Amino acid sequence: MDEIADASRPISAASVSAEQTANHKTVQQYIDELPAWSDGTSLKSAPMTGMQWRIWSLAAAGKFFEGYVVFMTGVALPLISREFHIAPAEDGIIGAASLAGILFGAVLLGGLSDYFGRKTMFIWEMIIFCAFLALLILCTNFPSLAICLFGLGLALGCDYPTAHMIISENIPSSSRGRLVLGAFGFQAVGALAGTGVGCLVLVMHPELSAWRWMFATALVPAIAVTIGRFFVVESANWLAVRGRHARAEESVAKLLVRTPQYPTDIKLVRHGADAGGEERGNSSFRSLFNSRNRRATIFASVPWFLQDLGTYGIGIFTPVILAAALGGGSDHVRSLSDLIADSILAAKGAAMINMLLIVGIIFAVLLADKYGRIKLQIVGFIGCAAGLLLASFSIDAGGTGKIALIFAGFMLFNFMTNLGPNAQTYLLAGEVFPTEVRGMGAGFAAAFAKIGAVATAFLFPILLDVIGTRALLYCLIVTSILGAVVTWFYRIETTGVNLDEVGRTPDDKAQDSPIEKVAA
Amino acid sequence: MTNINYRGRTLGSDLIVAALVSFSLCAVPIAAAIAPAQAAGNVTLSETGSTLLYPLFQRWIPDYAGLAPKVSMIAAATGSGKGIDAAISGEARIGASDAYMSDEQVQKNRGILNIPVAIGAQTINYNVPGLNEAGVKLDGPTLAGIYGGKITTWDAPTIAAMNPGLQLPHQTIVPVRRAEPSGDTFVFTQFLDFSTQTWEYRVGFGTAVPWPEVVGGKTATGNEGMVQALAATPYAIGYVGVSFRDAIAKASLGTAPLKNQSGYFLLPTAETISKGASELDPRTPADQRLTLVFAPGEQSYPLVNYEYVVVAARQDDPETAAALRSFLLWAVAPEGGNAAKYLDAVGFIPLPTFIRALSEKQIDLIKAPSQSQ
Repeated sequence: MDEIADASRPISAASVSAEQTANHKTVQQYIDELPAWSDGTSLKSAPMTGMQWRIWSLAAAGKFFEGYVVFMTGVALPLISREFHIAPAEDGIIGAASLAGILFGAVLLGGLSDYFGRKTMFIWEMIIFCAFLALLILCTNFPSLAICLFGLGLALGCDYPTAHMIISENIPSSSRGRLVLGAFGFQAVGALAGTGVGCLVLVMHPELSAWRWMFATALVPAIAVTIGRFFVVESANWLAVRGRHARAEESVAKLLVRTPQYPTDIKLVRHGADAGGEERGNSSFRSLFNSRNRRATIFASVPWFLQDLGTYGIGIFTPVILAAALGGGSDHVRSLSDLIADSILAAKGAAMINMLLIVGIIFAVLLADKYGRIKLQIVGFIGCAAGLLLASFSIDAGGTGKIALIFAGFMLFNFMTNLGPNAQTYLLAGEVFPTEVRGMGAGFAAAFAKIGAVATAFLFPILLDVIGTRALLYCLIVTSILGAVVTWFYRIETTGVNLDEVGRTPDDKAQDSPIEKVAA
Repeated sequence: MTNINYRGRTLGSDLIVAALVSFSLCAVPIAAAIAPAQAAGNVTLSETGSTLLYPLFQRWIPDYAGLAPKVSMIAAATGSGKGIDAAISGEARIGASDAYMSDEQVQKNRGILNIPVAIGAQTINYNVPGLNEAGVKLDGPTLAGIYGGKITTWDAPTIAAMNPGLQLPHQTIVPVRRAEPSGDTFVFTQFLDFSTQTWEYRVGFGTAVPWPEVVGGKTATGNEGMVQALAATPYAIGYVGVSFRDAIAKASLGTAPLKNQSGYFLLPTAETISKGASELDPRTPADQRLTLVFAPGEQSYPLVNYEYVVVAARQDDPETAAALRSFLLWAVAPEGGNAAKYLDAVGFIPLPTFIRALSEKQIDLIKAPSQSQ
């Protein structure tokens, strides 16, 4: 009940002045603090506690299953299409159902984590994921399939901001980049596993119903992850911003359990704005566009959108790359065996693309905290432009030179996008907003990028037809460079920055007052 | 690739119109033979289904009766859909079909086998006075346009472009399609589906499909009905099983050379049918459900298909199982039912060795419950 009283009865700076001490810190300061021995000697770095690893592992596991199921859907879709008689024209609805789910999930469910808490949505997104996964295994027709994919998309969309925040608000600032991207990378690991298991199921059970077994392999582990999420702490950062200081201090205490225990006393700073009411904790969607957050909103959304454009552009060459690397599929699906062989080929192709993703992400993990997000994003965008330019040269080339240029451009683009914008836009979207709108902001950025993905999926085939491949690629080179330019002009470097400080003005800091609360 | 119609529809018996009269082959001798055979505990094998396979059974049965006098056989031309249904329900021991069973049918009826006994083909025939000898060239997209109601006259630019030098009449094309679910419709619509994206997206393929409405279009029942309809309707076009080539010749219908995957216009000959099949033989899976339509290869005729017998792996008694196995092994043997004297007469070609081995493997699965593992 303590925190309810805290939240509903703002405490003025004056009323606590007697309790002020010099020891009060923010949540992030406690997390970032180097533990010291009793003689005052500090450790060289803050080792991750068991709870921090638990949070990270459960977030990474969620990412793993997302990648697993999404890429498995790619392998399973030909079988599903055949079983449910989905016409080629309806394939678009399948893709649209997932994307629509991601859109709504990112904006609505992701944003809800600003109201109901990171942990609450961290659990609910996995419940939604498991529920729709179970229904997907059992679904019997096209409409129920579309609904299940929409539902899985909801969970996926919600996870964009939620998994990021639950990690970043609970770990040291110095290792935030590599830990968030490390978890993000598990999506690619999951994708690889998903395609591998999909292939294995097809080989062991070459039947039309194989896709149900594929998805079934994910269900039990996903339920285990869901249960595990009940046993993590709520983000103390979010609790503090909501004015629930008692619970915030409890959370910090549970988060930083060490032997010997450090820190022993948890005394959180109370933000001044909280004293003035619930304004920081009850921000509306419109607040993303006010003078305080507009820069962050543009910075998080526009480069992500531009990155998606380039990804689509290089996708023109994916069939050529896959055919050259793996050979073409059957001329037409003439039997169930053809269908299964084509699905296995598609899985191999997806695995190959995934390997590029993993290599890029590994570099991003290693370099994000060392060189900073902005540099990597700008270099990545320029590298993407170079990759697209190389690929465009293939239009005039012939013979082996043509394939070599396509390969070179494709590899360069994929490496640079995964090192740069693909990884960094995700990382930055969860870092550049203040805590009270972080979920909403990161969700909006993800949704904005997906709107771009939907629009380009419909518009680009028309553009390709009207202006041709060369002109389209040149346009995408320009948009990639534009991504670098927007990143530079709106840059908010968050490398090593204390998340408590993000978006806070000097006035906010002046109003801060410490309040003494000792963890139970 | 998806297949809305074929996979989506079961071959509903309510749609089946057995307009070709079912009758016993060699009715008098067999009918006469049945009674003493049954009295002696002998076996009767009933066959029904494909009108395309029917002429072959007409030739097989009398000769096989000489080899296995204790086995009496009855055949009927009722359409492939009916043949598959009859084999599943047990109404007939052998269902004859130009199309393999759909995925749903296989899932619901695990013990039913689809066994190729020969390779057949289909022709596109037309009745354009003055041009029936000329061989009007056609391709998949043009046929899709005709059956989709987009190409309506014989002198349409797309047809004229493929047939320079021919004086095509400015007459309305009358597309004729099969009224009942049929293997011929399966083969024909699959050709349209594989060669024409708009057809693939809007109609698909199957033994019965949601045909686009075409003003003046007609329907016919069975291959015989199709030939009759074409002969009676000037400027009509339709698809007919190759085993009706004598009837086609008798009706003086034109046969269209068809454009294959490689862009060559070909007529169905033993060589072009064989080439079309051989390109895809290696891709035939163990259950032998594979389409040979629109095969790759410069000399591959595009409308080729396996001719199937659909039978239950589990027969009522060992005698029936043994009789069925023996007959089918004879039917696929090069010195038996696959001999030229049977197949040449109906325009079919024999099974290649690899496919015959697969068929024999499936035939060996036919057992009575007491013989099952």
